[in-house]
Amino acid sequence: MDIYISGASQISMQEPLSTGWFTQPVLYDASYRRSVEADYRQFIAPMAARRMGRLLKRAIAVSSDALRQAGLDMPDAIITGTGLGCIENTENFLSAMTFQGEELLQPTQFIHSTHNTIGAQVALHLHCHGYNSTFTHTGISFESALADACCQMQTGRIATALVGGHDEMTPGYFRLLEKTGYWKPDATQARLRLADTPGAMAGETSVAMVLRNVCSDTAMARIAGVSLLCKPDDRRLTEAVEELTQGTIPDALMTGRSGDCADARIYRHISQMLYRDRVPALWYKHVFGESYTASAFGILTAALCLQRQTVPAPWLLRPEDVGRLPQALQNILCITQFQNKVYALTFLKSC
Amino acid sequence: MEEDLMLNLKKQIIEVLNLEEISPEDIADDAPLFGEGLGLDSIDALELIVLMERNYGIKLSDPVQSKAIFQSLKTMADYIAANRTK
Repeated sequence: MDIYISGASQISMQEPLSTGWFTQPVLYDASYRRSVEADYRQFIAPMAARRMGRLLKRAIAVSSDALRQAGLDMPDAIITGTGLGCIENTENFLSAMTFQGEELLQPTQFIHSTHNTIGAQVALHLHCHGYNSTFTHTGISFESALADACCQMQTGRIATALVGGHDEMTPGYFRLLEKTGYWKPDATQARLRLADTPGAMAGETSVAMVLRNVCSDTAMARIAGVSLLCKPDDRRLTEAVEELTQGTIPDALMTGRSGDCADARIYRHISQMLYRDRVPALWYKHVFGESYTASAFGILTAALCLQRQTVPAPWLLRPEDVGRLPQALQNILCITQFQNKVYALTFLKSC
Repeated sequence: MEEDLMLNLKKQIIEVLNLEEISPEDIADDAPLFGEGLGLDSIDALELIVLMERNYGIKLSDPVQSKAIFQSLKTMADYIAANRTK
């Protein structure tokens, strides 16, 4: 069965609800940037929005915008990937527990401190009573949601799905990870590209994609397959890629390179092992930053490359690879790995 | 004194319920809090119960009594004035 990305929207450190970033992204020299907020009043009534934290507002905005682009009022399913859910509410709830002796806790903070609040609030907003599921699988949470949507479609249970990837980076959580060396203190674009020191640039993710089992006018790319792997060795990874691509050499590799030196070594090894480093490598975390669901931006960027049949310069890891890209882009293999433990492969083809 | 309590209560409700676009002057003393008027819901009721206990030391446990107390801002303020412990 063919599955198509028929609409997609994002809120990030780039211009919200826009694709202007695809050709002209704002490239920050910073360790930490929060998302640029959209005008949520066009999506959510003030009385409904008052209880929502910023991640919920972003999720509803990108979901509504992606559905509008796809020309779909109601999806058959809402499937969400998130590493930490509404961590801001969780922090507030835990702080209140600490400082108020576990008494007199505000119910709203508690309700929103669960991971599946995001998918639930989107469903409440859309009045969607269909299948609703949330995946919290560290760095492959978004691909896990994508894989579930594909399975549900292939078994004929659903024909459309709203798949989201949502994570926020609060100052508190940023500081905690900073202590472990997770972020690059001098995260300039040059240093991220060089990837010769530990650490990445922190970002936030809100991405929604509408999947359909038919190719409509709005289709951006076809999802040829999604594969999830746990601690694969080189042989297993190679087999999984060959199975997914059916031996096709992709036109480009969309890598999840974050700018961290250990992370870069892993992606260099993959590219060398699979294709002797001959396939142009693309990246996106220098534009959107690192978060548990940042890979959603990689898939979104790859889908836009296939839809518009171009790879703008900012996405090329090595600028000289521009001459190695084919005139007609047919497919892109997106590879995500998290701490060399879990891997996700997403193979996209042009429509 | 009663006016001070009423104004403080309005400010506290706006803060705890995150009523961003509402000012104390917009809340009529006698207007219903739930359904019409402010249009609050059951989760807001829980927030108000927490507010009463945390700010005024009043513990509400009888749902019938709570319904009468939360009828309007004035009924809330009257109950607080008569029963507050802090």
